[in-house]
Amino acid sequence: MIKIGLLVNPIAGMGGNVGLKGTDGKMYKKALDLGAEPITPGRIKEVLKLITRQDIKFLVPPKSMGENYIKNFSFDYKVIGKIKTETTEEDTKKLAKQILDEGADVLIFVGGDGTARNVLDAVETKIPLVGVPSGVKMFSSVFTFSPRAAAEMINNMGDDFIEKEVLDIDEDAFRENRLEAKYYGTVIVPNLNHLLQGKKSPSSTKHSIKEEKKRVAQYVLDNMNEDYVYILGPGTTVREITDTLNVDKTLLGIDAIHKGELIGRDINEKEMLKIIHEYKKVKIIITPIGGNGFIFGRGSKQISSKILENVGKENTIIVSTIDKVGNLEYLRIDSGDYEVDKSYGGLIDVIIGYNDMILLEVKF
Amino acid sequence: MIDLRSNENPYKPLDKVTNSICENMNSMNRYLSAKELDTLKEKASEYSGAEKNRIVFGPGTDFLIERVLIKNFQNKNLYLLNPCFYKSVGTALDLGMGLRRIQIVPPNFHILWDNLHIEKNIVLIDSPNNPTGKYLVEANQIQKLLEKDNIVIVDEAGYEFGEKTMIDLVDKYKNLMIVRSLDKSFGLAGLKVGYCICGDELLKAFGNNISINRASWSASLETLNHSEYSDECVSKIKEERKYLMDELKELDFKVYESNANYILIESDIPQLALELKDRGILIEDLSYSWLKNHYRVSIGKREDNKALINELHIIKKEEA
Repeated sequence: MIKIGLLVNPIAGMGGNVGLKGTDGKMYKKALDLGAEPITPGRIKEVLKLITRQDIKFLVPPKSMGENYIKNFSFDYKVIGKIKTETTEEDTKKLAKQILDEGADVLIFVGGDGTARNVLDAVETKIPLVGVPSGVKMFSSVFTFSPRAAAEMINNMGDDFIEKEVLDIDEDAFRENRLEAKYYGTVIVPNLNHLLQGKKSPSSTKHSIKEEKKRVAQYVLDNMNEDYVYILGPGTTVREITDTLNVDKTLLGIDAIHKGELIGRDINEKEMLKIIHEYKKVKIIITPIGGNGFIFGRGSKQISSKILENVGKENTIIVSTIDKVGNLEYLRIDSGDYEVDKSYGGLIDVIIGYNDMILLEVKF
Repeated sequence: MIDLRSNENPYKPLDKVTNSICENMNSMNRYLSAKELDTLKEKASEYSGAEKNRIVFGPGTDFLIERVLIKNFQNKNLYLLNPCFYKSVGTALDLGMGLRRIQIVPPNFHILWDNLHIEKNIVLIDSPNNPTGKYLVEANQIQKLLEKDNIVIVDEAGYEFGEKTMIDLVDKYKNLMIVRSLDKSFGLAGLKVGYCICGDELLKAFGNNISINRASWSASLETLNHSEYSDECVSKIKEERKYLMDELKELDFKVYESNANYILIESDIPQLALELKDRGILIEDLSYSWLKNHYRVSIGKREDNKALINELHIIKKEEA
C-alpha cells in the first residue's frame, strides 16, 4: 500500500486565459473580475483516470483542494486538514506539510510555479513529487509533460528518483520589466527513464543520480587546492561538497570555504569582493540551471560581472549530473558585461562524476 | 511488440548461415583452432580490403574496444561523444580512466576537434555516429589526432550503410583501430560478432587468444561467403529509410538525414516513446540522456514502418 498525497491549487492557471501573469496574491481577484474559469479540475481528472494501480490510499485536503475530485473515483482516501472557501498560498504550504506528516510516500500537486514554490517550502526533498502542470507560469522543470506521464509516475513508482528544479518569476527583474526565471530550490520526482530502457539505450552512467552527485563531490574535494578560497553557488550538487566536508551550507545562497572551513555564509557581492581582495586566489563552484543552462547572470546575481572578472574562466568549476546537463545544447552566461561574458565563452568542462566530464560550449 | 529501438537488421539471416551452425554442432566439443580462425580472417580481409594479420575477431565491438582500453588506460582520458551507447564506458570508469564526453548539438552536430586540444589520450568515435547517423569526423581530423599521440578507435559498425571508411589509414598509423561488426547488415546481432583492424601497436592488445566460439565462427564464415545477403539488406533498409523519412516529414516531424540503419527525429508530442510503447511500438527516447524531444528510430521492415506511421497518424489526430 502506498500513500499518495493529492494537493490541488484550485485557482492555478486561471489568469492565463484572461492575460494575467499568474494568480498569486491579489491577481486572483483580478482574474475573477475578468471572468476566469477554474482549469485544474479537468487536469486532475485526466491524471486520476489513468492511474491503474490499486494499492493506493489517497490523502487529500477538503473540497476544492482535493476531496472534490477524488470522491468521483473508487480510490480509498482520507481527508486531511481544513480550508476556508477562498484558499491562499498559506493553505497550500500548511496542507502539504500536513500530508507529509500523515506519512505520504509521494505527493501529486496540481498548479503552476507559485504552487511548486509553496510545496517546495513545505516538503523540500523529503518525499518525491509529481507536478501536474496547470499554472500560468511554468518555468519549473518539476512539471511532467502530460497527465499521462504523471499517471505513469504513480503506476510505476520505484525507488529511483531524480532532481528537478523549482523556478518562478524573478520579481525584482519583473519590476524592471524583464521576464526572468529565478531558482528557488530543488525537489525530487520519480524517474520515468527505466520504463523506456532498451537493449541499446545510452550508457550515460553506471550509478544512480544520487550516487553520481557524491562522486562529483569527491572528485572536487580530491582536487581542491588549499591555497584557494572556494566560492560555492546554490543547489544540491554543490551542497553535496559541503555535506561531505560536514560544513553547513545555505541551499540558495552563496557561501565560501577555505581549507575545508566555512569562511562566509550567504554572502553578497561586497563580501565576495572582500574575500577576493584578501585571499587573492579564488575559485567558484557553480551548477547550471536546468533547462536553460545559465551558469551566471540568472539565479545568483550576487556573483556579478565584477566578481567574474576577478576570478576568471580558468578558476570556474562547473558541476552537474548527466541527467541535467546532458539535456543542454549550450551553457549560457549573461553577467551584464559583454567583455566578461566573452572571456567565459567557448568550451568548458562540466564535472558529472568522478573524473567524468562533459564538454559544452558557453554561449554569451 | 515492434522493436525499433535496437538498430537490428530486421531481415532473417540466410538458411545457409543458420544451417552452418547446425552442421558444426558435431564439433562443438572442440575448441576453435588458430587455423580455422585464419580462414575467417582471410574472408574478412577479402571483404574489407584490410591486411589479414591486422584483423582480430571478438564477441562484439565492446569487447574489442575494452581490450584496447585495458592495455592502454594508464594516464589517459577517454574522449567520446555524448550521447554514448558503449558498455565499455563502464570498463573505463572501473579502470579509473577519466572520461571526457563531447556534447553534440543540432542542427549540424559539428565538432570543433581543433579546439579540443586532445593529446596522448584515447579517442573513441562512431562513424557514422549513433544516434545522428552522420559522419562527425573526417580523415584529416583523425590523422591530426593520431599525430598528437592519441589512440584513435573508429567504430565503423554501421559501415555498410554509408560505406565511408578509415581502413586505408591503418597501415600508416600504429595507434589506430577500426572496429567493424557482423551484427548489422550481416544480421548476426544474436551472436554478437565484431572484428577490428589494428595498427601495429594496438595489435599487441590481443595476442594470440581466440575469443570467438565455434557457432559464431561458422555463421560468420558463411555470411561473409554470401556477402550479397548484406548488400540486399542494405539496399532494402535504405529504401525503407527513405519511405520512413518521407512519411515522417509528411507528418511534420523534424527528420535528420542519415547514413545508418536508424534515423534521428525530433517531435514535441509529449512522451512520444511512452505513447508508442502502449501501442506496441518501441523507439529510443533520448530525452533523458541527451536532448529533450529527440528520438532514434531503427529502420524496420515495411510492415513495421507502416505500423509506426499509422500509429503516429492516430496520435497526431488525438493531439489536435
